[in-house]
Amino acid sequence: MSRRQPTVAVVGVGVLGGRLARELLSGPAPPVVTLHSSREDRREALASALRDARDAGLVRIRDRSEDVAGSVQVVVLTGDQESQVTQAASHLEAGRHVVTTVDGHDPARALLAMDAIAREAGRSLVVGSCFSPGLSDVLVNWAAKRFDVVDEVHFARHGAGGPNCARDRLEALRRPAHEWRDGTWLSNRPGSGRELCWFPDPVGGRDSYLADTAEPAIAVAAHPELRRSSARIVMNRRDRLAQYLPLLVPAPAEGGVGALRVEIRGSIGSSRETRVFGVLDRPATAAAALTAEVTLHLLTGSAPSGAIGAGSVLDPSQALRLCRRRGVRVAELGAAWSDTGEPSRDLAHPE
Amino acid sequence: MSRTTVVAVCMGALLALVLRLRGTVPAPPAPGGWRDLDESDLV
Repeated sequence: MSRRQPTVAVVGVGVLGGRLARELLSGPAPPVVTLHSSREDRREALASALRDARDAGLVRIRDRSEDVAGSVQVVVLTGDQESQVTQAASHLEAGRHVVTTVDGHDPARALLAMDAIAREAGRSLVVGSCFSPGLSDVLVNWAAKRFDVVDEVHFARHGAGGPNCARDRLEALRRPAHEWRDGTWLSNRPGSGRELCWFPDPVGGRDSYLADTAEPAIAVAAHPELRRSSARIVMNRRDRLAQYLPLLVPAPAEGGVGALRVEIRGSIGSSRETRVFGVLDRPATAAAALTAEVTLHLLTGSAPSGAIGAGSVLDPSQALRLCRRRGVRVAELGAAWSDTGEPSRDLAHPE
Repeated sequence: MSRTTVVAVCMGALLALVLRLRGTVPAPPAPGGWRDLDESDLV
């Protein structure tokens, strides 16, 4: 029976991988999911938590060192970012679609550079299917349809999905931040570019700083016409003081409520517009919801081949609706600004 | 425990308290407020 069913492998089953397995199995026609974890205690916990699905033959739990089975059609990589880059090429060559969860600038660009390999294999390489990047790309692609021309996209995010995500967040704040400006990548000093960004309530306004994350690289790949793109991460004063110290207190097993915002600037007709969209959820929960939808769509075989962001796998409005049904809250900041700096119209009460 | 250690620990605790208090200053509300998008908006 299982041979006929679509099969998905999740390599690295931390907070995101565990939630992804549950999301994949929650649908009406779930695929067979193989979970590869290097930790024995984690494998035991998964076996206990997913006992019913295991008994039904829908879940297999393996050591991470074991090879991914030849029948697997989609591989989701959630381990450390460098290993995702090295594993992606071999899975593409084996004829599998690959979903990665990188959030750093360099790993994302290395994966985007595999576009030709993915096209030649006729497979999709999804770069950064997380909270941000991931849902942020979906928002950009969805919102871009409302503009005639989009020339600036700026990202900001708050929170982390789990311990690995918290570590990557810290690393992104320590490295020089890449910013796309007029066709060139500029490198900004770590901790620079402070800006007060408003996130959906109850997160609210937070000081955010330029960070070396993947969102601009993925946005530029999807929208080559962009003139500027940057990404910021929220830091409070305590974070800034401890920015260069190791994580003294380990991150919680799963982070609290997180938020992301995408600010899009461009033209609608002769008017210059800025619109801001946001998402509020636990980062790992929202990332798992999106990755589940991306994975299920890849199994249908109708996704474009090549190295693409999560926002290009399926229609962005469909992706947002599906994520919303899985509990992800999407919001829009209630005012749009014209190029005079004044609110141009009340989007909450459109004419 | 030496006196220096005690003073260092107290100073650290005081600094952490100040940073904690300073870190919880509320930001002003978002201009225009946020509006949740429902399925009919996501087309």
